[in-house]
Amino acid sequence: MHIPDGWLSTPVLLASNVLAVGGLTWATIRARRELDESAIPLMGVMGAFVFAAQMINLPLPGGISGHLMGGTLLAIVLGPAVGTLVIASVLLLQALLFADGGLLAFGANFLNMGLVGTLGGYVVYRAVRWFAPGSRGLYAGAALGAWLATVAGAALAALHLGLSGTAPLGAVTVAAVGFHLAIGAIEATVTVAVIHYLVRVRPELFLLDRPLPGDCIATSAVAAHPNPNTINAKVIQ
Amino acid sequence: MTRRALRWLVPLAVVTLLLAVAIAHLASSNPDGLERVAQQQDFARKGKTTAAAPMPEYEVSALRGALGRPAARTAAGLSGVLLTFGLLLGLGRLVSRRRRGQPDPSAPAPRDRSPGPDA
Repeated sequence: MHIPDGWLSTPVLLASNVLAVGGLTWATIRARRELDESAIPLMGVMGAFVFAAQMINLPLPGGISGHLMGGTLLAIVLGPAVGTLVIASVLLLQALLFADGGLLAFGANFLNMGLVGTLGGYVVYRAVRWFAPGSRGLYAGAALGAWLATVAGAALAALHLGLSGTAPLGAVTVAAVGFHLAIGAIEATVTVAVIHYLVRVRPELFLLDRPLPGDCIATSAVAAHPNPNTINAKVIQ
Repeated sequence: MTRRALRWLVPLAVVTLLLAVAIAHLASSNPDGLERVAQQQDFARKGKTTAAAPMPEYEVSALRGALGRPAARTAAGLSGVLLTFGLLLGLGRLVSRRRRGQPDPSAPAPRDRSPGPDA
């Protein structure tokens, strides 16, 4: 659901790009504190995975298709700040090299497909884990966060279009949200599948008392829990 | 970073490459959610390109004529994956300050089951 140039009015483009710069500034400042060198390979592979997955449109009933957006997944695995920088990089490369999403519409696409997942979807994920500890809360939170972020992102895209006068706000919101109720299922499924793999090989990534992604991967985490079953027991109750 | 520490990343990297160079050919050509809305509300044709990109529609334009569409798409997918990976390694190096094994003294104390800063 990348917005090309030509769909949004100048004031809407201006506002969304100002908000995007604000979000990127926050993410950079926070990532400087959080990002550990040892997390960089995971950051690269996760970003490349999201890029590749975004190429693959899966068919849905009703003659539409959808692909992963990945913001929620990136925030859960890398932390919201680093996740935000990764999704911004993917969207920027798509706009610059693949004409997928307009250059001027970068801010809008970054808000709708990036921040809404790395902040909104992530907060939902953390809230669910707060109420439901253990692996059930982890997977339920990831699925709900990913699904809600997709639907909210569609509503936000509709708001951009409505405010731009491109389409009537009510009609475009109903249509966009309607289609993305189904597309959100793709988001939730892929998000849970990737997290399921990572829980099996790196459970310490998902320890809630280790909110910093770097700490999670550093050998210190393993040293603190020499028995991997201890980690597993803590994450997967 | 020892070789053993990275082994668990390899399956994810292999899946990523497979998605980009092989599975991408099977992608649905149905309009995605937003494209469908644009058709329905009749504003799809308003879209335009601000600057020429080398790989529009995830195909390397330069290869399409000589080698055909599948090769052009595989090349675009592979370039995209490698460029994303490379860009993020560079960005990660720029942003990260800490060295492995040296905890950041300014980091907040670990909290147990906190709902996150924004919750």
